[in-house]
Amino acid sequence: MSFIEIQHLRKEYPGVVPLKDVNATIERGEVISIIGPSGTGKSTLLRCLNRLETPTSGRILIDGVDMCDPATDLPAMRRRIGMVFQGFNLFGHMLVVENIMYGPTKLLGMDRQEAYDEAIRLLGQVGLKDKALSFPSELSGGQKQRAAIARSLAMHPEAILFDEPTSALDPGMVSEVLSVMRDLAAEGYTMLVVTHEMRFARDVCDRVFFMNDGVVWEAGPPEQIFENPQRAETYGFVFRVRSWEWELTYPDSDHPAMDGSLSMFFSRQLVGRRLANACQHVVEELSAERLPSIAREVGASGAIATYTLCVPENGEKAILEVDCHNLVERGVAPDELWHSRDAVSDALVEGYAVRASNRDGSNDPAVLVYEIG
Amino acid sequence: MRRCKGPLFVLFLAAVFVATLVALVPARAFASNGNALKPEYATWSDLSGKRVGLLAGAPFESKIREKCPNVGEILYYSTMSDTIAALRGKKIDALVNNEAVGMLASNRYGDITLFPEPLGEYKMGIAFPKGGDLASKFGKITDRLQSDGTADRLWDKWTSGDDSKKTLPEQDWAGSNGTLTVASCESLEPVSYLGDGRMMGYDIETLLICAKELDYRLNFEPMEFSDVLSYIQSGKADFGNGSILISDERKQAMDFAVTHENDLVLVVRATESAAAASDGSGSNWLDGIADSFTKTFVKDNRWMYIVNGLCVTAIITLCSGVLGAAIGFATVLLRRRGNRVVRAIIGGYEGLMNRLPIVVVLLVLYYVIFGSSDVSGTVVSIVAFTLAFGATAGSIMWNAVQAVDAGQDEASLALGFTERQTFFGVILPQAAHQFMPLLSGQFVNLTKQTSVVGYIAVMDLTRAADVIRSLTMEAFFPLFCIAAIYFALCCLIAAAMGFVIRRIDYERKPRTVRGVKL
Ligand SMILES: Nc1ncnc2c1ncn2[C@@H]1O[C@H](COP(=O)(O)OP(=O)(O)OP(=O)(O)O)[C@@H](O)[C@H]1O
Ligand SMILES: [Mg+2]
Repeated sequence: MSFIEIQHLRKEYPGVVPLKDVNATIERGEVISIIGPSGTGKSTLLRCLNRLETPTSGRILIDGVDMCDPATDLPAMRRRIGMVFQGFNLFGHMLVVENIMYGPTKLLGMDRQEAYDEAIRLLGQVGLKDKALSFPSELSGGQKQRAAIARSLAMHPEAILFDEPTSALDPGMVSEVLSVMRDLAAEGYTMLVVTHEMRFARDVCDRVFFMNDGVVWEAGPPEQIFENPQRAETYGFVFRVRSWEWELTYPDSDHPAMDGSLSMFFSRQLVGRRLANACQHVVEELSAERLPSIAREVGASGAIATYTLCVPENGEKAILEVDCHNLVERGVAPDELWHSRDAVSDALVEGYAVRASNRDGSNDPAVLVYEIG
Repeated sequence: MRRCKGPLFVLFLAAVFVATLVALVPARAFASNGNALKPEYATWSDLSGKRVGLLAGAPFESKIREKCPNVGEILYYSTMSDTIAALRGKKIDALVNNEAVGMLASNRYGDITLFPEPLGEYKMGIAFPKGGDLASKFGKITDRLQSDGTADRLWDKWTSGDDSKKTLPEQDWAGSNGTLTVASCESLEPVSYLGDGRMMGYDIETLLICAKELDYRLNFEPMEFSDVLSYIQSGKADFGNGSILISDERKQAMDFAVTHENDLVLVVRATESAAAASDGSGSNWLDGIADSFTKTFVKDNRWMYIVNGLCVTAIITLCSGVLGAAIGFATVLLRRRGNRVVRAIIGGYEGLMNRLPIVVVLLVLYYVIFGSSDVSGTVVSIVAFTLAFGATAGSIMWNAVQAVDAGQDEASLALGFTERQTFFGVILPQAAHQFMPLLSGQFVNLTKQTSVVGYIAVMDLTRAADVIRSLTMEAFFPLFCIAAIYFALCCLIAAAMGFVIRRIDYERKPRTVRGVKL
């Protein structure tokens, strides 16, 4: 028998049916990531597993125990399954270390000193030893999430459910949390991770569930889901989330925000660091130098260009389109645009060639296209 | 910040006190006993358009209008001392009472005197609930007392200036027919009044004579005149006294025994009062203060009224504060667990209590819900304030509980805690941190609000001051004294709550972990 078995799971809310018929089995030690569009029931599925939600029908067996049986001792089962939330949910009235000791002392009857030593060890493991005596409100988002992970580890769970653990974090803090999770996966924890971090899903997980329309639409190893999806909707999702859009404004453009958004995009995607750097280089060159100087000449202001960056296939090359219609309308000659375009292209950044090219099937002179790869 | 405000405020209060003392006392302290003074109004037509004060419940309005059709507004006061103070303070121009009370008041103050023409002679007496046999039993005796001259003798005794003779017999008879509860008006000296902590006066002695003959024991409950009639009608007392005028209208609702026939008189201001009354020696106004102080606190151990009143106020406040907080907490627990019906009931209870004046709640509980049962006013007050405070405390706590981020709730459940453990371990400590300061404020409010329990004749601190005022006819010391006591009491409660609040404030706690070597 598998560790977790989900059979014909259905969950209805008044007017919505987020889970229609979910079937899955998960073995001990498996790391599963659950991806899918917003509102397709990923969180609901996770919350049904430890019965924070009560399913409408269907069965959930965890280690052979029927979670939907009214006779089941839910608190006892929940001790065996940790959960990490998008919003951290640390207890605000306790120090970080007390947050971690709370479960073991009250539920497992652990001696306070022992629980404390264990908590300190776990904090060391997630890199937060020096924050033991802080209040949660004094931590950054990434630190809070790492503390929350330590809190759930302290119960020695047999499986851990993660519901978008990095979605509420600033881009810079995502990696510190993901790296803790990587370590846990390597230690052999059974993990179910709802995430938008495609890179994490591909590199760390044994299997990926693509949820759509209330069912597990497609399940399989990461190579299948990300490189060779069997169903059109899977392909559409995996590809669509692989494009980045940004509107460049002049004279007030928010470069840090743009850089942050682009970094987040790369971190979530399957894009390697070197290709990411090459793309970033091109976008920065255009945004900081070329396009503003053209805009200044013709006195344009407001939105002057729109970037669309796609990383198709398996992340070996990227296509950047720069829509400059607003500049052309202000009387900028296409020649001048092309001149700028070419000034950036034909460079070799981190080993990647940057080529100016025409957009497939069209010759719109106001759209500059780069192929980076 | 909080710490330094208290003393400042006390200082301010003290300054106001002293200033008022200096301003008021010299003018008031030298009321000499009365030579006949010239009344401000001497004929009925003089009273046209003038305001007349009556005791609440006294049916004299139509009689005044018979004599003076154009009389102005009629105002009702709950005690005779308030009415007299209103007359002297020119808020009204005349007041009505029976001759004995009117004489005593005008003798006591140089600035008021009797209106020359009486309103007429009326029968006054004891009122019984309609239909019992007590009225005729008592009535036979009181009729005899009036015909054999005993009544006149008693009348002279109680209206004389010689206080030393005004003593009452002890109730040393067996009382084999049981004990009767008497609702007695406490502020109609010399007919029925509180003196030295017990009921005294002409009416009281008459009643004792009757009771001895009939072999009843009497238990006098002092109260304001307006409460006497409610007590009789609701059955809280077996009968009531206090110069109750016997009118045809009242006879339909109650039975009477006549105790005396008496002129009703008007009391008005005297025109030459200031010059005639003052002995002119402005130098010893300090003696005036001392005299006033003695009258208020020392004479007849009157400070005991204040002490007892304070005890009553404190008991009502503490009991209803603690019980109310418990009820409020119970509503929070019920709301968390309960279904829609339970929540609707709790919401209804809170909505009702928050929209009803506390005085109305008190009166309804006292005269309607506990109307015929023998529940003391103090207990009724505790019930009323418990209900009111429970509603306030409940909604404050519920709001705070709901404000605790629901995610922590789930995190605790997901760790394996039960709903109960989650509530007490995670939600409540954080909610308490939010609601305790609000609750503390409401507790102080509660203390102040209890000052209305006098409406149902409970002798609390405010009522104690009223009683002293009606004895001394002076407002200054009693009122300032209770103001200071209320202030101190509220400070004390706020300080105690502040201590608790600091104890549960996790933001202030030292960064150590209990029971652990760091
Ligand atoms: N308590 C609830 N009551 C009613 N509807 C709910 C409730 N919780 C979730 N839903 C609905 O169920 C659907 C699925 O929600 P769920 O949170 O599981 O989606 P999700 O896949 O986690 O989306 P996201 O990626 O945005 O987190 C949504 O349409 C949501 O509105
Ligand atoms: Mg979700």
